[in-house]
Amino acid sequence: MKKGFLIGAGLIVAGLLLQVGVGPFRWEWLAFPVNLTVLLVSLGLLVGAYLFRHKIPFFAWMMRLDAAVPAVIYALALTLVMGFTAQREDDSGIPWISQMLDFWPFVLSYAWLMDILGLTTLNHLLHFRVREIPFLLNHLGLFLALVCGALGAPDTQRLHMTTREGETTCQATDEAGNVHPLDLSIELHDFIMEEYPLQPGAKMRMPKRFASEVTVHTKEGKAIPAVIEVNKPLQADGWKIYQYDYDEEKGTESEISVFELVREPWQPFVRAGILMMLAGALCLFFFMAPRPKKEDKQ
Amino acid sequence: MSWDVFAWFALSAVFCWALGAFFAWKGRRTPTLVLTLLGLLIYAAFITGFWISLDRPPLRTQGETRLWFSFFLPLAGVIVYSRWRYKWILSFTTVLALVFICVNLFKPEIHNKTMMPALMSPWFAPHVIVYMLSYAILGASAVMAVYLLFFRREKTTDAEMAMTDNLVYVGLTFLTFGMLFGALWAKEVWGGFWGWDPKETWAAITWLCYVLYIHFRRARPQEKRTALILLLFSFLCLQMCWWGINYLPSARSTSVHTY
Repeated sequence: MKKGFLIGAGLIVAGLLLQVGVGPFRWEWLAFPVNLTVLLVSLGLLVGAYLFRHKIPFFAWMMRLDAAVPAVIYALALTLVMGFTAQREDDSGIPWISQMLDFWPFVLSYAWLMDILGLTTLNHLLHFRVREIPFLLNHLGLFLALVCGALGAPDTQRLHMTTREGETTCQATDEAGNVHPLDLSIELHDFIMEEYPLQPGAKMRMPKRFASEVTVHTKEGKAIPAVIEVNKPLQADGWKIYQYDYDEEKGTESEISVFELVREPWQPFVRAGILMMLAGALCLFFFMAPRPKKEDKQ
Repeated sequence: MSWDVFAWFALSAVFCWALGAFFAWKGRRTPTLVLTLLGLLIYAAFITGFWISLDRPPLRTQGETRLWFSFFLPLAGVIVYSRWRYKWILSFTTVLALVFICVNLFKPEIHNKTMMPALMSPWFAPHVIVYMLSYAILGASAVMAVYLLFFRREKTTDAEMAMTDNLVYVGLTFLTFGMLFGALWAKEVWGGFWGWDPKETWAAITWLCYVLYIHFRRARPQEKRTALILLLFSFLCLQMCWWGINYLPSARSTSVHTY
């Protein structure tokens, strides 16, 4: 395991040098088509490493638990640091670790963990046996969810659209405030806010429901009547439309409804990974726990 | 059924569990099982009645999650007992359940009928219940680790480790379910599977800890002490994820998981 700890330490040092040299890791560097290229090249390298595993013992070592355990420890340690430091969008926090997701050592530690995970998964995939299915579901599922989640993050579009009752809106703004004209438009009929009756001991009434009665007009000219509410987003034209905000000063009388529109092209792969992990966890429950021996019971 | 009657139900349930634990020490299996299950039934009756009176699942506040935790703990204990016959496990789970019941008695958190729209989802109940179940099972594994590390004089046997591993496997199954249900729900309510909210960060830490335990056990099966210490560390992270972050300056008030 020593080797694994040394590699992890080396990655931290390399990460710190990069952090000093080129500044924080910028996820937007990975925006399409860079992310797809990175993915394909990495997969190619993993296949190469697999093919040369007998010639180069290091690649064989990467598939062992002795490599996996330290890799998990480093990822865990950096995530622990993240858990103990307030994460900030601006520079008001502790330098580097208050933006842990952009911290090179964090990125490199997880990337190394994914290399090991990918190679091990590939190894099991190419030596497929039925009893390896739980292993594959857990490991391939995690690989898919994390790799596609991370690589796909810069391709995710998140826009906000402010609509007014009786009007049709076809543009939305991103977080930087840029206005994006859209093929899709939303006609707001009514914004609905329901409240609970005042509870004993409470100072104000609590919201019970936020909903918007709308008609969504798609690119192809279809008109979809719908009620969009918290926990009930609407899927249209590749966008997922969420109830996001309203005029808080007017409260139940608000004539404004704000929607969040999210487009996440890598989402199906992440979802597939999550579903595989769920199936894998079930297998863990049924098959993988080693049975205790009958003797030396207390 | 209102919160005011909680003490009566809880104390009679604890009485049954304690009596059951006593019979377990005496090696009397049947009364142990009957009494523990009776205690669980009494407690479940309260949860059901409370649920009906609230018009919503009682899973929103910290106090309400403690309610479920102290129900699942003796349940995990009685399952372990009936399978492996550890006569001491029920005493531990009863004491631990009593601790959480006392916290709820002395520091009840507001249990009113309101539930914010973000929580109104079919994912709500499964997400929290599965998490509480996994916390209870992993709590039982932590109890096992404490026993093996500090109370047992002899060397830890392979069978004892196998039992601890089993608890972790089952606990991790539910922990994974809780986390992934959360991710699928987050996609429906916040638009993304994972947002690195403090609660999510600590959930990831907890999950990685138990994943590490499983891999470490396979890599170094004979280093039992290290594994057991790791298990205790994992349970500390779990506590941090569950309620510790409410007291953590870095996470306080910034979490979207505060209800």
